[in-house]
Amino acid sequence: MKQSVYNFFTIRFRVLMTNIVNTFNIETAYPAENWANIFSTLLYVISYLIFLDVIFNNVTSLAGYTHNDMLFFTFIGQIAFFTLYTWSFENMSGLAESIRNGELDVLLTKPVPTLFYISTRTFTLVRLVRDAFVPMLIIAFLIDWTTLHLTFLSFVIGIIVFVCGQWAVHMLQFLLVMPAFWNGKSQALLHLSYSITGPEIPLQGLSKYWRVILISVLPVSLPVAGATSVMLGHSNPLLMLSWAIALAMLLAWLRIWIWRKALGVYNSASS
Amino acid sequence: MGNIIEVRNLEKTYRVRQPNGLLKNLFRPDYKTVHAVKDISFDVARGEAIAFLGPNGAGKTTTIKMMTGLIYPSKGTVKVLGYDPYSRDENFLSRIGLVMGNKAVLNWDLTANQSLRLIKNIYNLNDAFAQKRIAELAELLDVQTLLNTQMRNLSLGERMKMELIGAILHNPEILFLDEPTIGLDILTKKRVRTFLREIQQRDKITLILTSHDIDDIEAVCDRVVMINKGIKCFDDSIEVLVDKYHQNRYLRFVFELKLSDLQIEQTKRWGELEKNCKNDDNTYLFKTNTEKMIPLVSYLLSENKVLDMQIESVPLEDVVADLFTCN
Repeated sequence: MKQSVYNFFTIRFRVLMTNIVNTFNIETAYPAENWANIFSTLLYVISYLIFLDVIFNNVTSLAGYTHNDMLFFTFIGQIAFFTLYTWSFENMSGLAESIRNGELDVLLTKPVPTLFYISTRTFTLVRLVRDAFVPMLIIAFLIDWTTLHLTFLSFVIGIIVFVCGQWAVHMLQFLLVMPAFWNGKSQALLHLSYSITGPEIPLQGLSKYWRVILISVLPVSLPVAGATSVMLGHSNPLLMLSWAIALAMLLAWLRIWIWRKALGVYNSASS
Repeated sequence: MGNIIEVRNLEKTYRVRQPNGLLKNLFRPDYKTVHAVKDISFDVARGEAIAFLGPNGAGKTTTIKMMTGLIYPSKGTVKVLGYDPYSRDENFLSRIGLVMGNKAVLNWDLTANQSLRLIKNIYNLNDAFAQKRIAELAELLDVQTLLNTQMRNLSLGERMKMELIGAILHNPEILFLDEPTIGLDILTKKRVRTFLREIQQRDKITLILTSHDIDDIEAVCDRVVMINKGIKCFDDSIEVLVDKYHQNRYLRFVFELKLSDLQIEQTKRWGELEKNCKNDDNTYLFKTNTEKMIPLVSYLLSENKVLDMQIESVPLEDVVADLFTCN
């Protein structure tokens, strides 16, 4: 039965709100558990900032990026990491496990758009705020915002490229989970996607060959390197924007196509 | 009232990879075709309570999964409430419920109430309706005081009751239950059976149940569909099932002396000596039918001194076990 556009968005909004509330309830079920991760993320960010400091004590710029530009790059990178980890990786990991143990059965019989539901089932806002807040604050404090070559237009275009890029990386993780429908398990493949998400290298620091690969076939550099290069005026914004939107649309179609194929071969774990 | 479920010539085959050498498995694996369901047809009327019975691997759960749209049939058609289940139309999914005995819907880390609230939102139920229904169902299952307990702190039986509430909160027209009483203690099983019967009769929910427990079937269902090796070998009411074998009887005798080989040979005209009976204390168990029972008893009474005698109907379990060996 064809849905109206209004119903299409209303249902998804309702599912999203439901998942956010549900995840919040789960996250706050064990209060002591919440604080363990803060130190590890903080430690990582501090060590990375020290590393940048060491590099830029010896050079003035890296592929055209100053120390301040690289701090901004890191800021965007951390946003990308936290949002992907708390949304995409969690949900795709959950999907891989659900396929393996047959819990997908109970999800497939719910009257919600299943693909949307499983992609947003976990939305760890508490963890996002808890883990990201202090590191992001530190980085934001270190950036000299007045000397960044940011314009309103480049910033907006950069945001769109960022969103499309995040979508592309999410699609990569989604594709790596799909073999579970045929083989029964793909946790290792999913962990591979986690490892290769976004080398922390500005786009202009890559050779032309790698630049093309890492924003197209394997678009892991699109959300951070691609978006930052647009925001800071290192790339043609309209070209990058067109490419990002085209890629996002292609991946959206691919996602639905491959999902239907996967459901067609789904055997469901035995009861 | 028309049929709510129509299944015609349903088949499901799987290609299963065969274990072989590592290299062979990687490059040229061997596959075996498994026919999980072969040419099954049946109809279900609204309000019926049907049991799918069969040994492990018979195809019962596969059939249910095809009726709920979880897996696609290899051949044949399934219509449930007028829909193709595998289209997963949201209107269709909002009218069915599924309980799988070993798969949880409710979140382990949350209380039952929190999880039920999630279900309420998924099915877009009115707050007042959901509250009333939860209260009603919790009272029927005697778990009212446990709604605010974390699921991980509930016993298996209590969790199962909460899963049942979750599955019928939205008042489905059809409820599919796959081994709902697996692992439960006797009292909880009884409670669950009574509950299922009550909601089936009160809310006119059509129940489709798979179970290995004969008592589940006797207590909850009116009709039995027996599947073995993917083939339907019986489809009728429980009464017909029992009547079919109603004429069979077990006769247990305790004699003063052991029967001779010749006497045992003679009894074959009227019945079978069960191999698992105890002979060391001169106890013999014969399987016969109502027609041949009297001549068998007369013969044995005339041949030997009988210390004790019992006549029993064949239990439903044995009736079913016999049917499992069909085809």
